[in-house]
Amino acid sequence: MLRLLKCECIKLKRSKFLLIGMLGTLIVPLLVCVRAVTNYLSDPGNVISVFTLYDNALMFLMLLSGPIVLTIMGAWIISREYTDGTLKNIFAIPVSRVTFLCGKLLFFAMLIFLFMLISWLEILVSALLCSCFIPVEQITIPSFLFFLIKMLFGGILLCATQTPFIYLTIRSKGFVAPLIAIAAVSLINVVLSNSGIAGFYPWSASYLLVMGRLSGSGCTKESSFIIILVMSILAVAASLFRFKKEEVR
Amino acid sequence: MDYIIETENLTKKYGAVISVADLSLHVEKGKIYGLLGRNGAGKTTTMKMLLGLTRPTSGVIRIWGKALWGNEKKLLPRIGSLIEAPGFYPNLTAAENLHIFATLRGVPGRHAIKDALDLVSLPYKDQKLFSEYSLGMKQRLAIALAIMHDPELLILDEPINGLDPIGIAEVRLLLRRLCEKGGKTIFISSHILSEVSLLADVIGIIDKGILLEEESLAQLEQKSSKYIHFTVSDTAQAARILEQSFQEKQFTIRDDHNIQLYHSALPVTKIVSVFVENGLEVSEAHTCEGSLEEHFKRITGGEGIA
Repeated sequence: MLRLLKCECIKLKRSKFLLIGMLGTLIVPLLVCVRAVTNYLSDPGNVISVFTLYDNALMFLMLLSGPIVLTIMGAWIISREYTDGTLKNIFAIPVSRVTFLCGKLLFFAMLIFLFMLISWLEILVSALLCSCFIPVEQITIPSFLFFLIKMLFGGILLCATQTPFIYLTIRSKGFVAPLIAIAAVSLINVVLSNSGIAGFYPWSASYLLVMGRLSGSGCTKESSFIIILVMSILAVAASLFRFKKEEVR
Repeated sequence: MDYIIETENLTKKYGAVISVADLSLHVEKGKIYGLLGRNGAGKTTTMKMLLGLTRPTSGVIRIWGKALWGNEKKLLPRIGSLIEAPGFYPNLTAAENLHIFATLRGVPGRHAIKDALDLVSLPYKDQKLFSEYSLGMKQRLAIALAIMHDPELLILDEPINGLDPIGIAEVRLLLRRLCEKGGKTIFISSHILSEVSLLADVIGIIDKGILLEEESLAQLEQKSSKYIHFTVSDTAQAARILEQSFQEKQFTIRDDHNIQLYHSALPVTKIVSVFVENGLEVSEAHTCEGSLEEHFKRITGGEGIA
């Protein structure tokens, strides 16, 4: 497995996709901070707090931009093996199909956590920088650590909710199907995020679970967890089953 | 005889389409086996099955005497392969690409990568990316990948595809050397007759998924060397006479008046006299020198092999 992860790191060398993914992730916390500062400058009553910054960043990262950027990354990590024609070399080594896909999934999960960590760090730095010029509330180590845990928890849920798009990538051997699917999912996220049934919709439920706002959605924490868990287990099982049967044509 | 590769009634169907039918191959140790066939004859599918990339619909594959299915982890690491177009990561250099596969194979050190690139005349420290390579360079890199881990058996699908004449000669020389000095067994496929006849010790001719012939090059050359050409008044009747009076079946009717008889040890005069006795007019009868190309065209029933 370590060898597979090492190889995945080498494959990212000079990759524009990683750069695009990074930029896509970095832009969200930056915009959130810029927006908070402009709000404060237009009305000093709009005090900036670490909570608001992280809450807004998590909302965009988990409901809108994050899923889209990560789906592009995940689809690219897997579909490139089809488009570059490398699977025939890998399977002939032989590398077990299940081990190979598990390696890909693990690597993708690591990327998700990396993106969440970078976002957390970006807000931390932005908040500290802002505090040099304007008042920022809750600048304490415990509050940053509190949100570090929330971001990592969000990362776990993002990993789980990305699995159906992995299956779609394997099924379609390309980008288009997962991208159409995530576009639809994100639109529904926007529509559902404040509705009473958001807790039943795994992609919206993830954000609500992280921020502890599930109570207003009419769905219990346990139910949301089970829905996300069942969906991701089914998606991973279907992906493994499909990939195991894969024939190089 | 012990064979390195042996298949028994190997069949692959894609839905209703039969890609490979009842294929029984025999590849001897230390020999170069050339699988010759037109495009779409089933060569690549056969090779994919031999590498476990595609499951056969039925039949058995034995490599080093062991069934492939169930023993892939033991057998495949001893094989080097090149299947269809070279597949590498476009954003990486040749050495970086080989480094990935060497890591997955557990090939230690950088020497193996450097040696493999040297053998195919590609620079080790080149910063050129795979996406910037010409087709010939990509093919060389694919050959480097196949030989990097010093395998005992090489399975190469159209290894000279995209190479220039000098590259073709270099690869031919390299494969000969690997076989003769390195003791490797090589199984190659091609649709180019001239290349296979220059390289292979044994040739298998495949068409529409069926193995039509499997002979040593010497035997094939002998078989295709001569034929008797007749110009007669009625080729249909001549064919009947050849079948009934001489039990000869290997002939080709060219048109209403021309017929060619292959592999016959019978004297021309004897055949002519029987034709005449049966009322046929014979205006021409002579022995001709044949060629491998004609032989292949005849047994595959047409054009398509260069």
